[in-house]
Amino acid sequence: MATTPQGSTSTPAPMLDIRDLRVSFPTDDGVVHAVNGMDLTLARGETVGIVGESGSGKTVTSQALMGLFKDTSATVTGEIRLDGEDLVPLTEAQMRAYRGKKIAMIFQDPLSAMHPFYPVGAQIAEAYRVHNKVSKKAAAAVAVDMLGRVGIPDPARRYSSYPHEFSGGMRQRAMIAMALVCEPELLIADEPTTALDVTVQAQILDLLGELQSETGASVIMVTHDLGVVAEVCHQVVVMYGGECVEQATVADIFRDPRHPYTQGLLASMPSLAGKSERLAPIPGFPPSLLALPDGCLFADRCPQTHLVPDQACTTTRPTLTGGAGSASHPSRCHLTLTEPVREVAR
Amino acid sequence: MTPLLQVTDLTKHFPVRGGAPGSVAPIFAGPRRLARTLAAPGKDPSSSATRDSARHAESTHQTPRSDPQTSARHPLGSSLLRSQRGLIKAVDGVSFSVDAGQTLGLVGESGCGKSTTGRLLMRLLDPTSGSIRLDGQEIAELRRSGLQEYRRRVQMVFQNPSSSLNPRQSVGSAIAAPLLAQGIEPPGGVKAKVRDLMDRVGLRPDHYNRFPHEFSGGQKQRVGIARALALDPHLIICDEPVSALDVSVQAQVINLLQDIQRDTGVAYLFIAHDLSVVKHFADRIAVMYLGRIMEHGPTHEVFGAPQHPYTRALLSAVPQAAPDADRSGRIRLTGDLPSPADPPSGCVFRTRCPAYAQLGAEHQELCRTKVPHRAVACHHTELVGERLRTAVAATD
Repeated sequence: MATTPQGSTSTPAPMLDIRDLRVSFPTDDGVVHAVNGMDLTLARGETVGIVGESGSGKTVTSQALMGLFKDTSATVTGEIRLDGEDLVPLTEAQMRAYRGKKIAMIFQDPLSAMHPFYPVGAQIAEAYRVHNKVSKKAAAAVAVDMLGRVGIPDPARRYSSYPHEFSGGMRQRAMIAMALVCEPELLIADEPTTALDVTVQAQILDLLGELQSETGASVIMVTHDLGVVAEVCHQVVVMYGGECVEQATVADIFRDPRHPYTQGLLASMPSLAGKSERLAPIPGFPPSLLALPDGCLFADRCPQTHLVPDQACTTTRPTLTGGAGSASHPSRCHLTLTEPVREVAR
Repeated sequence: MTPLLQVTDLTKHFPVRGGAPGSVAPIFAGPRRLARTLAAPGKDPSSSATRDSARHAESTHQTPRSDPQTSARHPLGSSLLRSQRGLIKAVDGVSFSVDAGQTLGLVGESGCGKSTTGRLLMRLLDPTSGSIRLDGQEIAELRRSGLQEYRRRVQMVFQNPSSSLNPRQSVGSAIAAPLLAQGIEPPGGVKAKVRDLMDRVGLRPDHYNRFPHEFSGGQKQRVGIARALALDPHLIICDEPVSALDVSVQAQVINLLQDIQRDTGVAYLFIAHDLSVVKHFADRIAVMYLGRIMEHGPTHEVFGAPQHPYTRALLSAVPQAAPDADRSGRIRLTGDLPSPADPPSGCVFRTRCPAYAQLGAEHQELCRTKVPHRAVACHHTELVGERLRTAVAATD
């Protein structure tokens, strides 16, 4: 069972520090601004959840962390500091020393993330040999051991199985084995359980929790499911339109959501525990990333814009404020600047 | 009062045919087999086919056998290049009913047969056995005009709105299609009816001539719902209608479906894997596992006091969006779903049942040998509660 992610202790120097990360892609229709100012800090051994809907930039953020946009037409600016070193200016060749070794990633769909023509074990062994000068035989032994650790029965025999011979849950276990074989300090899990059934999802989340407490790795859990966040994360970052709109501890985000988008997200979720009231959906649709408005990206869907004076919501982009020093956690909303107004909004 | 829809002992078996790697031998044995096939059409128990099934059996550890009665009911001949290797019991003796204006939620994991059940009800598939009655009328007997009338009364909303709409058809004409197919001329004309439907699902009139690619996922699903509503059906089968949508849009569509039910009195069969959505939406719930219904009852009973160990495990596997929720006493299932081509004997859930190991030998014997034919498909519901507590305590 995953360790209950409550009451995080005092924060030491962050292992990962992302400052004003921006990623944009040139397309035939114009420049797509996928990530527009992402900030995130993560302490060693902690789990942070990145939550958001499709197109909110959560996957692009994690791909930028892996350095997957090196040598592409994408523009990445800002800072990604891993143990103090900035990864953004690194070249593809330099990034290779990090990828797999210090940062590893688990993808949503292991069937397309694995090579269909190579045995699963061989792919894990290969990942190990990229960063460790060992014989093929020794790497194979490590891979078998790793398959055993992620709970695959009869690992020596399954070593030579191909990805299509595994079930969905087993494939995701193998994917986790591949990501963890070099004992990375940072593990990025991009929707690791979205393609799985709920009973298997529970197994995989448990497994990730166990392995994390064994290895002490930090985890970034990218998900659209606030339930998963509540189960496994310490911190949450809520993304909308490529921006981080709110960052808080898990307890705070559910108890005291600050940003109207977060509030809307929570209200639109049917709950298994509570009684069935009518859902309160967020009206409208997310903004187009091709032409972002000047003001708050959430303004045209926000029910609280009338509380902000001078129509600031449609003219000025709010900054991520609050947090250190102030009573509340950071949120990107004009309203949180003026506490009394927020009370009216409730 | 007779229910709107009454499903009794519905069963659908799919033959598993050859074509797996390593089965080229029959091709080379072609001339011989061809002669035999021609001599005795419909049955071809040739030696190579038997060999193939034996090899297949090896790779799946157990023989994919079917009881003689089932085989007798389905004499599935093998052709020249393909041979039958077993049966997938996608739906195996499922019974439930839906009352007018009510919603039945059909939940279960992938491969449990819930979508097949929906397709059987639409008569997109013909059942192997069992009965489906709409207002007392057996639908297997329907032909042509009867079937057309049935399809007017039962409509479907599909999971993926992108693939269930024709990319070259404007949404207006997609919504009009059912009316034209049925030859119905609504008062005021087809166009007015379509505009009315678009208005009802929250689409603007100027969307009429647009094409599916111009819409977001949520809007496309609204088109799918408008199309299903066009014929004023009595029952709509919703096969995972919101699982492809984002949370905030999902809530919009759920509210829309509820408003439509309130206004028109349509009944829903709501097929979904998301238990929170089903709990929110359904009046009654049927939980499926490996082609069978494990538990069936009013939503508040099934969720409030689940009896079947599978229902309990399923409920406790759902991640709770509440950090303070009590997470002790969770039931974790181990392993994967068994293959529906070779389900366990007796109770199909016994191989993953967390209480099974805690049961005494004679109780286990019963689980292994007898299919539990009960409202809650478990032989030992009384025992299971306390055994589960022991099992959970042992793992915690």
